[in-house]
Amino acid sequence: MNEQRLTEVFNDCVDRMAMGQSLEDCLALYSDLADELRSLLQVGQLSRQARVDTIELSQVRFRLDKTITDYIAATDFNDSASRWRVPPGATVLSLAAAMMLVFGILLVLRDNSVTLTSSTATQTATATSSATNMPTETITQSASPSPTSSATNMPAATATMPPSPTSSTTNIPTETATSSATNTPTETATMTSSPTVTSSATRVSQTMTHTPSSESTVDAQTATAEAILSAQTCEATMPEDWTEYRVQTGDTLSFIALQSGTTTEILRTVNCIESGHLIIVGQTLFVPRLLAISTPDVVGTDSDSTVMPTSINQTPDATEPPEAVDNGGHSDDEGEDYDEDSENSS
Amino acid sequence: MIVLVLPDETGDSQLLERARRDDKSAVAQIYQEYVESIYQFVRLRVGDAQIAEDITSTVFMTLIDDFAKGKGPRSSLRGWLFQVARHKIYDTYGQQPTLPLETIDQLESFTGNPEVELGQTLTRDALRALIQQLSPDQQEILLLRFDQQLSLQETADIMNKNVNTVKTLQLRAVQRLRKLIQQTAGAIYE
Repeated sequence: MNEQRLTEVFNDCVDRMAMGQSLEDCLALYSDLADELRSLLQVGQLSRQARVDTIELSQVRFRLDKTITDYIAATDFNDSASRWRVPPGATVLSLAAAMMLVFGILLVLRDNSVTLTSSTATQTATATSSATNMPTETITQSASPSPTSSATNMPAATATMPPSPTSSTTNIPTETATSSATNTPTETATMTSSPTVTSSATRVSQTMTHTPSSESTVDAQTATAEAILSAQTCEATMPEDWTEYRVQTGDTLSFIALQSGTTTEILRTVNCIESGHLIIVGQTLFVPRLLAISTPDVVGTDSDSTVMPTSINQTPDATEPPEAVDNGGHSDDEGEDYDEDSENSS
Repeated sequence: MIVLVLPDETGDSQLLERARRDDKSAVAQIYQEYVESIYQFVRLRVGDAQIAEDITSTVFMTLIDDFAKGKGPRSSLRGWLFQVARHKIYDTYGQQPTLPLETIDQLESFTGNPEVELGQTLTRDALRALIQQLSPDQQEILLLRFDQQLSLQETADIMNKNVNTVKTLQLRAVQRLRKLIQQTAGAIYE
């Protein structure tokens, strides 16, 4: 018998059976080796019978669960986190430095009044980003020899820079607090996947830092990853008299809440959308009734949707109207929420 | 605009991402998800339940410490855990582990008819005793490939071997185990 072939064929069958195929399926593929394969695969499967029984497993878990939960609680995770965050004072300083740079450039512009080409604008912008962490004297020096531009264009070019020069610290909440952050910081207790371990406040603030501009794709991606995950760890179940709605391009949670006569808070709770997490196009949300504007895209009912969520004890109508009513916008309201909370926390 | 479309990710990579950003609940979730697999693997390798429990707890403490230091697995969470478990076993028993063989007495519990298909005749303890007569590599292959159903590549990564070696080893492991079972059956029914 060709040992090499047996090695390959055996491995193939192990893979197939790991993916759910039956032993007979694989034997049918390699009928010339069927007898030998059957015997070997049976022995392989037999080795699974050496597994630890559930009684031993549950006893071990009882002890290990406590040990590890305590260990996690006692471990300081902020040591590593601090390396990725700049203290608030440093942020203020770099913002101040960026402001001074803008003023410096404006002064130079007035003196020289030379017209601008687009390439020089880029160069100046690059100078801005490299200069923000330097002392103020250096900034004015590096800025002054740079080619000048028309006064109308330059502020626009540099105005977008302050978040970006400090990009070594893209996760600082204070940076993005001014841009329209799209998520309310309120975190509901029902979202926590493991009740024994509460998530740290620092992470919550991290996930707030989504900006609408394309510069923050990394933040956006991680936030979305969390959104997907939170949908998995918390079981969203449809309350009675509610319906399903498929998220369309351009939707926001507050917009959907407004259209369905509920609040973002309730939508988050029912749909297991943790605060700071995003909704995704195509995602199915449970909403109180049919939406006024968009045609709801009704999808198949989830298998677990028969269970009422324990966290929902109130009807949507009994709650106060969504915040979005006041300003009409469908992302500004949450931005305001965020600003309020960031002020409170600071 | 908060609507974004991203390709699906596996649960592991999302968990890992959260854990790496110091999310304690994600770390706890990783533990919950893998503790039984790791314990099974270690338990069958070392034979002793108490030592297996200690090693398992060390594996997860190492993971937690590493996350807290900003280190830890970057891609394959499962592979990392099994790899650390494997190293801890070697730390406990030395490079060439002399694993405690379950006593041959347990083979007396081997009952049944050798004419019946292999395996239906072996008790769990007798089977464990036979598995522990395999070489450490063969045991690991058997546990990772058949019990944990890891892929060939994952197994190769964990054992720090190339895939062809793993293919050969897994065939040898099963052939050897088959022989041991046949010998045992023969000895009892002689």
